[in-house]
Amino acid sequence: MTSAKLQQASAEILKRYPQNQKRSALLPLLFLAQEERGYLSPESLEEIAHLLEMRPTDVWETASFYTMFHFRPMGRCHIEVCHNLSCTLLGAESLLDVLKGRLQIREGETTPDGRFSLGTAECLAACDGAPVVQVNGYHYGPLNRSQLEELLEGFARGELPERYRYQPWAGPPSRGPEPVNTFERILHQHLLDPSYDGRIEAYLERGGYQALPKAVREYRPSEIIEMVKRSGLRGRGGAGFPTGVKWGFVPKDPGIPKYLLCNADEGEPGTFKDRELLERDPHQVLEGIIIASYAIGSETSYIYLRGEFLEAVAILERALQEAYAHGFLGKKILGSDFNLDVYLHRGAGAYICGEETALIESLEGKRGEPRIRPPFPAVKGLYQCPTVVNNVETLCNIPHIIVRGPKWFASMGTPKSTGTRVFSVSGHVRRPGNYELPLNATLRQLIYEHAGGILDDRRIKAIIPGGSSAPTLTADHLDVGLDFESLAAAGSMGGSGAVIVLDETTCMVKVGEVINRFYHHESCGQCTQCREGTAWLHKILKRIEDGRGQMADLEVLKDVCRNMKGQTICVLSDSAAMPTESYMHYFREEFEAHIQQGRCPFRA
Amino acid sequence: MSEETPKLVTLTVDGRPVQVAPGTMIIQAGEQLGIEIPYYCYHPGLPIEGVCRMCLVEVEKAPKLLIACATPVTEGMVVHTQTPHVEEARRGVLEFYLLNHPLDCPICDKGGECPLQDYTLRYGPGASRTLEDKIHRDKHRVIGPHIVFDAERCILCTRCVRFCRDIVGTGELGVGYRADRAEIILFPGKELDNAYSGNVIDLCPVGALTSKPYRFTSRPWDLVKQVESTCPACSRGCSIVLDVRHLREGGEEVLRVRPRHNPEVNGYWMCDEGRFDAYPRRGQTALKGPLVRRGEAQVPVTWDEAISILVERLRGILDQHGPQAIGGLLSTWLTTEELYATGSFLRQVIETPHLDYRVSPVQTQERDEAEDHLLRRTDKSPNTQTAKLMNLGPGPEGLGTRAMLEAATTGSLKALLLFEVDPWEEPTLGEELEKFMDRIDLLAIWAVRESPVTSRAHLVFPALGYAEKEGTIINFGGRIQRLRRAIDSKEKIVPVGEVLRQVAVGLGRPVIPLTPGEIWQRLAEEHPAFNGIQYEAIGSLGVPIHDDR
Repeated sequence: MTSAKLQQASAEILKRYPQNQKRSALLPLLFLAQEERGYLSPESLEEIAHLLEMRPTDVWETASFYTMFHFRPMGRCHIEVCHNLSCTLLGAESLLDVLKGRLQIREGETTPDGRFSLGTAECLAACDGAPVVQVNGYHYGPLNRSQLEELLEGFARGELPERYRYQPWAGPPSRGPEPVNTFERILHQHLLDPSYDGRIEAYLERGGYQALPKAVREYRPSEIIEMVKRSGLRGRGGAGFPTGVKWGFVPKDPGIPKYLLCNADEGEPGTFKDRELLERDPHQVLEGIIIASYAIGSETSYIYLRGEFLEAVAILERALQEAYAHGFLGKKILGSDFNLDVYLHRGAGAYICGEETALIESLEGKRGEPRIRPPFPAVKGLYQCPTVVNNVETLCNIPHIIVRGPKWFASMGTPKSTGTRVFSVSGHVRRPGNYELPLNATLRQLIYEHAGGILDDRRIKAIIPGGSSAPTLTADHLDVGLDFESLAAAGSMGGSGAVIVLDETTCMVKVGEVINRFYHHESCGQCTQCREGTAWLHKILKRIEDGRGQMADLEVLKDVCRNMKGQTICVLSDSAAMPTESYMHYFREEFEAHIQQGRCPFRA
Repeated sequence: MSEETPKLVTLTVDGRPVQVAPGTMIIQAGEQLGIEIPYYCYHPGLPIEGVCRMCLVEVEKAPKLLIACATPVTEGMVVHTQTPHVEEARRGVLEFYLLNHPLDCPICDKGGECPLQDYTLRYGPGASRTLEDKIHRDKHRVIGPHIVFDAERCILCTRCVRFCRDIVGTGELGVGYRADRAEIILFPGKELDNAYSGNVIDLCPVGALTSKPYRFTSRPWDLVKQVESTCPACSRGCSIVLDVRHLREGGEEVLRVRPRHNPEVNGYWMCDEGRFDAYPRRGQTALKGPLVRRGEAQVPVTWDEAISILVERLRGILDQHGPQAIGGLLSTWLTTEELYATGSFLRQVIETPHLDYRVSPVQTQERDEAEDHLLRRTDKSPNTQTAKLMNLGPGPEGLGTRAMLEAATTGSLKALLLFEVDPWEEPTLGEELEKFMDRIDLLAIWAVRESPVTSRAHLVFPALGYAEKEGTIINFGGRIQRLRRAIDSKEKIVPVGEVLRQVAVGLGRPVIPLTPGEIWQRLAEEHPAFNGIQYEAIGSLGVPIHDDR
């Protein structure tokens, strides 16, 4: 990229961040430079360092943290096969074999003619389209071998065909009959209408942006916080922390800038609910962001969007423009004294940036390394200012709470897990997809009534109820409630709301290998236990799966898991250890069989 | 200062109560009690990172183990550092570290003084349980003029990164990539070449960052002496330790120079010049014995002969031209005691007003300056402050450095005594000496190494190197610190004070005191700044000079 062009672009990008926080523009500029040249050369990195008044080392260490940046030329068509759990269950490995055969290259390589690069990707948040392939940022799926070969012909011609593109859809009709809809859908109410296009007109027509005027005209910020507290709403990102309580931690001092960050870095394997809410009903998210910002006194808000959500970029940018044009954003919103600017900020390929303090670091243009707490973000977050980080789905609930009241919200679900929740169901089910259910529903209702039951009517072996970090449950747990407490009592957790269903043909050692490959790939690497432990778990499990395990490995696995838990800055380490322990707890005989037979008994 | 002192916090660590200031971390409270809490990434001079997870301790009422380095004490806190839970966690961390550590201790510089070795022995697992291949990385990458990096040994504590970023401010080092691919990185084509780079060697808790000159030269247990001294590389006077080794052929050498914590002077750090250059240059005298010029040649003589020759020459000049024909330049590389001896010799024995210590331009300024925000000063000699306090410049009728050199060139100055003035340090001075070196009646020089001047002087007296002598120096801020003899000189060297005492006797003039005790007594009498300071009371961290300005 020419200096002049980059300089011009940077001036525009820098307007999104405080003047003394130029480093925040790092990831956007790296993306720009990479788009221009296909990869980042040391010269580009130095130029960006110069533009942002950074040390070249700091640019390099940050850039190298994120997997979406490349430091050598890549093929014109970059194909990445998702090999995370849901995609592996449904044939990702076979797709990868097709590509290796056809392109005659291995993962991480580029064809000699420079046309193709081949790689693997971690969960692309499109698990209802598994197996999914990412091509130059666009997602295709579900694909079988012949569909992939057909696509490959288009790719070879330099095309990115529309056919087989992944579409987020609340229960894709292609996979069987519509679910029995016995519950009112709150967040998905617009999505049931296939003609709903997510534009502001459509949102307004269906009663959108009624909560915002009510909020800014009828309530003081403290009253909004009180309402959200009374609603019992808990964070939908993973930890389930009460949202109103989190907001209440923000100091009221009007002299300090405060930030509301929308966590749209959806990456917990198996989870694809936020992506749909963002892409199909962006104004519902925005209305939530605006009201939340009003409540905590934030005048600047960022949507930290997962880097791989390429198609969401245009959708959200358009939605932001529409909201500004209608006076829902900007100065003196709806005639009040409330000002707010919302900016989109893209991540660049790092699961850990979904952790709120890593997200903040990343937004500051740094490596996504979680911070030591305290201080908590509510006191010292972005730019050392009070900051609230809320998940997309959490924020989507806010307008509804304002319009219909906390009492109404609390009447749904259970006393401690109120409201509804969007569950992403994937794996061996007939109708994978996102289903919004009140939190007093059960796993059985979700899996059998909504997700259509198990493929080919096979039996359930395991249910991972809260994303891959959640310890597994079994078919015995089908009547466990989906609320936070019930899942915890059953020995697992609500997590991100992703329910991955594994049928009786699944090899649990393989599942362990796949999920630990993911944590090994995604550990930020700062804490010893996580950096070394995730890799060790992955290597041991792979060895057992490959038939080279020893009985002593099982003892080592148990000890490694124990030494990884509760000892690190964030919970990524626990997220690898806890499910691994649960697989060994429920399916120890499968591990032993691998070792005794010297092979995977589930492989033909 | 007059503000009320904050109330102390009381806690117990392993059942022992301790009182510390609010904001103190558990690790420091433990230290105060002498309780070892092992750590790698923590360093009292660096910002807290909290990533090695080695210092986990149990705190009552806390649901999880907490890191002692980043957990502030609270009133009534109950800390346990030796519970089974803590011990298991430590064993776990060490097992994780050793998974990919090359265990090449037998060829590692750090072996024998390595916290990874030490803690593994004390807290670690007895055997390895891993069957996986170790990750291979760069084993010896030269990353700067002084430093070699072994990426396999690195445990990613990031002390080196934080030092360059937060202390020096140059930030050459970073952590690149992530998970177990993470590595210490430099920007492509860049080097670790800041003026303080050597500190990363001390900071590195393993053998990942090693010293180019020291690499593979010794084992820690061969370093038989650790001598606390003071760095002579500039007017800062950093507190240092000299690591001394016996030589196979007999004698000793200083093999390493390391900083020693002194909050009043240098904190935890020192610069590369002091660490790598000062001692090779002036630590040991390179001259074997006195030399006398006979015609064009210089011939070795005994100390007694050299002293008699000096007496005779000085007497001749004194008789013929009077004391005004003799001048002396005192290098501020001399110790306080040597400055006293040489200054007194010129003033009271020779009775000349021509003497000066201002050899380098920076010494003519009121005060030298900071060369950067950290430690280095612009005056590259250690003891200018003493010469100033003793008024070792020319008297009212005396000539200063430049005037003396001019007088020597025009012929009015017949003899010049150079006390450790080193033309290598001051090249312009060397040029000026050239002008009259062959014409002056007497050029006598005390030196630690050869130079164009020593090779042509009438008399050359070897001086003691910085590692070979005892004494004191006073830094730019007026702190008096000790030099300690670390090694004996290879040849017999008569200290300059003793030479001058014998010369004074030979000339039949008053005798100058010799012992430090006597000198400090005289200093206290003669100069108000030295009032009340006793030589014996100058501890390892030095004492401030009495300042009545």
